[in-house]
Amino acid sequence: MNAGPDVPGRVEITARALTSLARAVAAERLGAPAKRVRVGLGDASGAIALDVTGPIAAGDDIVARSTRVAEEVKSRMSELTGRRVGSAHIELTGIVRERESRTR
Amino acid sequence: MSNGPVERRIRRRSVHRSRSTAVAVALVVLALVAAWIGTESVLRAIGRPPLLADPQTAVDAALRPDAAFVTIAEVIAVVLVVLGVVLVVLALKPGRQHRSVVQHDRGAVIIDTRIVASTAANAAGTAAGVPEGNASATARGRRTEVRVVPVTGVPVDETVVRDAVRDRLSGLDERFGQRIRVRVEEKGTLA
Repeated sequence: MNAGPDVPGRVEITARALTSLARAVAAERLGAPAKRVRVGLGDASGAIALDVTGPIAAGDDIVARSTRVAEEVKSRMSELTGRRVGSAHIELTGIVRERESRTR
Repeated sequence: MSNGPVERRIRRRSVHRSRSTAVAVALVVLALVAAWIGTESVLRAIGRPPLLADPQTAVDAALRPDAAFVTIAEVIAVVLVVLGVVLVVLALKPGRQHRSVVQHDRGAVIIDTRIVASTAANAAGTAAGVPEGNASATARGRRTEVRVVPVTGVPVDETVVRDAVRDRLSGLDERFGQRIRVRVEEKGTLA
């Protein structure tokens, strides 16, 4: 990524940084602690492919919510990194209760 | 471009491979064969035993071939055909080295194609916004081929890359920028 025509050099984002960012975004949208969310990054014909594994906050209609979460994670990641995000695959592993997430 | 005979000669000698090695080897072999035939003839004339084979017996054997001689003759013929083809190819091919001539007012300027290639790769990498290792290029004659591996999520515009490469190469010499092929890989790298 170029900083601009006037600034020599280049800004690079490492894969690790991208992964941590995706993890934070996914945890925020899922309402789960980041510790329990795993994210894998891949390449789907030139765009970022997200692979999220983690629990979701308790509530009704989990399936619809996770679909929305996938969309939100995609757009937020795209917004934060300035890159195209092609797909977000979410694998739910459990449910986080409100009380549980408040305990620090 | 200065067109003095010396400069033209230097340019030609730098860009094309010399054929003197092939010529020298061929001439040495020819001289050895001629010397052998001469020696055998003299040895026969003064009635001494031959070094390898009496030319007369060799010719007789060739005229009345038996099975063993035919195989030997075939092997020798194949070897000679291969050698002949190699020599003809060496003689007819332009024998270009990996160098190109650059127009310059003074003197003869020769540039290695690797320099052209790395210049193209550098320009392509900068234009596409990919890390240094993601852009590579090969140059051969006036043809330049650029290969760009994009960063995942950042689309690379082929025409932008081609224009950037053309601009940069035209700075070296306008002929280098004429035939450029850009290939953007479908799969990118994360960082």
